[in-house]
Amino acid sequence: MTSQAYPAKKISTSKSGAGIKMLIMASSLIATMGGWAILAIGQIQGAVNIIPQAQPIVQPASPAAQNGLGSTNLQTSPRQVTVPNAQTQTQPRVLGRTRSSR
Amino acid sequence: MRLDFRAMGCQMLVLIDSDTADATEMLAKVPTWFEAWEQSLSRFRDDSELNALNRADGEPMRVSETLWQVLDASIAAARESAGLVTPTVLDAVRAAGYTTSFDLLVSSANAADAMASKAIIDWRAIERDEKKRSVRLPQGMHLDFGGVAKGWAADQAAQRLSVIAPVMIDAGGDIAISASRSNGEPWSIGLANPFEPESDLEILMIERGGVATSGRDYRRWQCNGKGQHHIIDPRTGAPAETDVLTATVAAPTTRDAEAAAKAAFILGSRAGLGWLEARASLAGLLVLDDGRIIKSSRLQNFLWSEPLAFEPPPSNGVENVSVDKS
Repeated sequence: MTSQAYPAKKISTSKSGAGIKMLIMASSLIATMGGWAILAIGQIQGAVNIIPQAQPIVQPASPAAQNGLGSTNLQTSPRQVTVPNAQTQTQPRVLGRTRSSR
Repeated sequence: MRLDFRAMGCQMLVLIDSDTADATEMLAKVPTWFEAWEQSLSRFRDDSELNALNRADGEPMRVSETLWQVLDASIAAARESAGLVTPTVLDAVRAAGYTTSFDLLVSSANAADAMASKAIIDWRAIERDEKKRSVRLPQGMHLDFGGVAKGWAADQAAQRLSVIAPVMIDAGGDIAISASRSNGEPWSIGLANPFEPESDLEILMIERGGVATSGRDYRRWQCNGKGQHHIIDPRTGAPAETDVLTATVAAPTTRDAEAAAKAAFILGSRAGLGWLEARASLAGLLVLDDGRIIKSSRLQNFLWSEPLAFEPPPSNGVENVSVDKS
């Protein structure tokens, strides 16, 4: 009898293990799905990050350059950029004027 | 600080880059310098030293340091231009009707009847004795310093004022510059459009030296129904027949610029441009009768231009553009 008392315990033990197993599987499934979700969010963020940003359009420094660019093939190899002296950007005031004698 | 006055039949402007009392004092002297030079060098003043020399009738005459220097500059110009710019053209200028100062000429229709063109006596016939500072003109030779005197005077004035501060002198369109401005910047000089004199074709940035323009856009008149001007071609003894309306030259000195501009004008566009290109110290711009503009390759070194984001395409050195003649 004593030993029979154990089968009941044994039966009881068997039911309890199946529940735990179900619990572990569910937890695992949830964790996996969560991981996928995290990964998916990361991928989306990464994808957003690698979308090329719109490049600023470099405007020419002067109307004359605009005219020049209008007829320049921008696919050709770039020329050396000349950085203008800030003091010469505006047309200087004429101090003298050469002309035939008068 | 600036000073405006009239001298040598032209409007003068002096800019000195200083406000000191020394600059004020020196600036006030400039008109008296020009008056003294004009009294020596003018052909329009009967009592000038030049006219005394022209009346010497083959006899040697001791001359002032001023006349000696200007004659020396004139002979140097004649040598450099192979005789195209020579002081021995006075009779030919008179024969073309330019017998009085230009102000009188245009105000009173005072031009004498044009006469037959005059043969030009070779400048090498002028005799000089440096020790005695005397000059002898062969009989029949008469001098006119119109092609050099104003440039020489502008150079002289700029040199004298330069002990005070950087200076720019605009002597009726002939420009002398002693040095960069006090802030280190070059002087900006407009190159007048002969079809529209109050506007500029280009702006030249000059640190030192001279710029001058010769042309027939202003000093011209009618004689016997024929258009005349004051620049004589010594090869013909008559006003130069050329396709150039104005010639502008930048050079180390104003007298060099003045002589070179006249030579390029007389030679015409093709030969004139070649003459300028062959001389490393010169840069020039020619405006032709039809409105075209021709620039020598070295002029690029002086041109102000709006800053570019990209270098301009390489040019062939000679640039042809047109100017609106309206």
